Amino acid sequence: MNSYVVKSGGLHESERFDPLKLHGSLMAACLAVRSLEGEAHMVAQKITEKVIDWLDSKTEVTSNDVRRIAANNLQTYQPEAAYIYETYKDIL
Amino acid sequence: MAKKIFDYDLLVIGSGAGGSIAASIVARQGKRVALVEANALGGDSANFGDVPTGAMLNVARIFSEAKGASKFGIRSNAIGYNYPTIKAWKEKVVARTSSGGGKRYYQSLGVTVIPGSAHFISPHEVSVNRRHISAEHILIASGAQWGLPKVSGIDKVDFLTPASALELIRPPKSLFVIGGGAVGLEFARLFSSFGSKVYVGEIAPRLLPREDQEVGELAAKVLSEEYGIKPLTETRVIRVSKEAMAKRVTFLRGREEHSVKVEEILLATGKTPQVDIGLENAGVEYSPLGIEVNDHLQTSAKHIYAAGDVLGGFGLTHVALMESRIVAHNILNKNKVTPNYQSIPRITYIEPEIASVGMSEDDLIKRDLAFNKAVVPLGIVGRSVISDTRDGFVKVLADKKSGRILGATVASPSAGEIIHELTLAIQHNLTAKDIANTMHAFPSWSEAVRVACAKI
Repeated sequence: MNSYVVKSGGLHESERFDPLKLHGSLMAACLAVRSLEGEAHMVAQKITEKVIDWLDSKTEVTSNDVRRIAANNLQTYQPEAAYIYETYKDIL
Repeated sequence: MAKKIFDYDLLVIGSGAGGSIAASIVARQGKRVALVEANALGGDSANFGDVPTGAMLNVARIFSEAKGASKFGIRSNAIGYNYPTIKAWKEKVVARTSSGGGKRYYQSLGVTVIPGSAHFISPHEVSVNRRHISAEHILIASGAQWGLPKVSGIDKVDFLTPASALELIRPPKSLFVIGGGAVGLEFARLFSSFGSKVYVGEIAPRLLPREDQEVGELAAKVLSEEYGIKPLTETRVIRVSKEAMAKRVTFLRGREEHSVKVEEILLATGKTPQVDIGLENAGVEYSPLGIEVNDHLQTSAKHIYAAGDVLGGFGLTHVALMESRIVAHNILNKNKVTPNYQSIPRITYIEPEIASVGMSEDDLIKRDLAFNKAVVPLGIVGRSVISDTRDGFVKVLADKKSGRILGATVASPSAGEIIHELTLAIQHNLTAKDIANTMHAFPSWSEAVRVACAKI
């Protein structure tokens, strides 16, 4: 996978998509709503895989895109975590 | 405030019918235009849709006519076909057609062609292969792709789409077409001509459910009697599964579960607009049904326009072309114009060819409009006797008070040509009497149009 993520606004500098970074922020959102660590890891893993699938045909997207796709998918598994993930994007 | 400097005056996403015309018109006015194409130049219709399908259907029609020509004294017992050669012909037609969409053509107009997928990263900027391109105006003509129906197991079997069906190395021995609309029937008719056993599953009570009832009934009769196709109306496909080298299709019909084993399954249940291009980053509002636009084809971001299948409307190439012209006009001029959707001709390439325009009888009833109708069987005109073709009719619907033509259907050979007389009539508010008083040549299929109008 060779997708790049450009920060929305600013100078449009981009960096290679980092699945671990996404996984970490999803884990944090799940743990924030008191999910068990194992469950949080499993959900974060599933969502990260879905985002990777979505990125498959894309060379460059924005950080907002990654957040939106992740949040939409998280809604299915952990609606409360999805709310936290969307609302506190600067913290996570 | 200084005007922002953009790389281009117009950036067009998609080189199909919705994008190509606008790119050409705007470039001819000396504007800087870029055209981004993720797939083959010319878009879906020219490369994977109308053109290659039309080429194959034309061969199928000639083959069927030749096989049935013995009644005219032509010896046709030994007639056969060579499928690879038919496919080569299809490729040749596509190559010829795409000359209008070729890179050289755009270069001659000064249009910069950029291969790759476009993704919005801001309202005036897209990324294509990590190259950031900005434009004052953007036209989204990203088209649509064949959607997956909600059928259990569909993600676990190999299925055909109308595009991939054209790439088969031979016609399938048996085929189940899910969807009895225009495209589904065209493929049913295509493969049945070459010997496939074809089933068509349609959830509505008749084939071609968007057309008048007579059309669906005629299509079912001709396709089953002449081509051996099995039309399954009021049929909901509920499950598909692999069965050795074949596939099993399970469906509900009349509350009973049935199943058939076929070699291939073709999905023809409709297209889904291609909206996964970062529209959120540009502030463009959309739904799964398509991009929302105003009367001038502007999106919620006023400098961004949309045209063609991405609007989720008609899915017709000629509608996309009209919208593309309108977008070009509205970008170049202050007096903005709106598209007219009142007189859109629709054609289904089966035998007899089906063409319709304007409102259907169902539309008129739903809107509670008072109307007169006349239906004339094709058999009444001399051309029918000459060619021994009787299946078909002309139906005209006119306003009860004024006689103005509101809708029409033609089911006959060359219906796709005949319909334009009625399209012109609707576009210019002509009455049935105007057409009835116009001389029509003898012998011609169009005589049936005159007779139908005289009966109103």
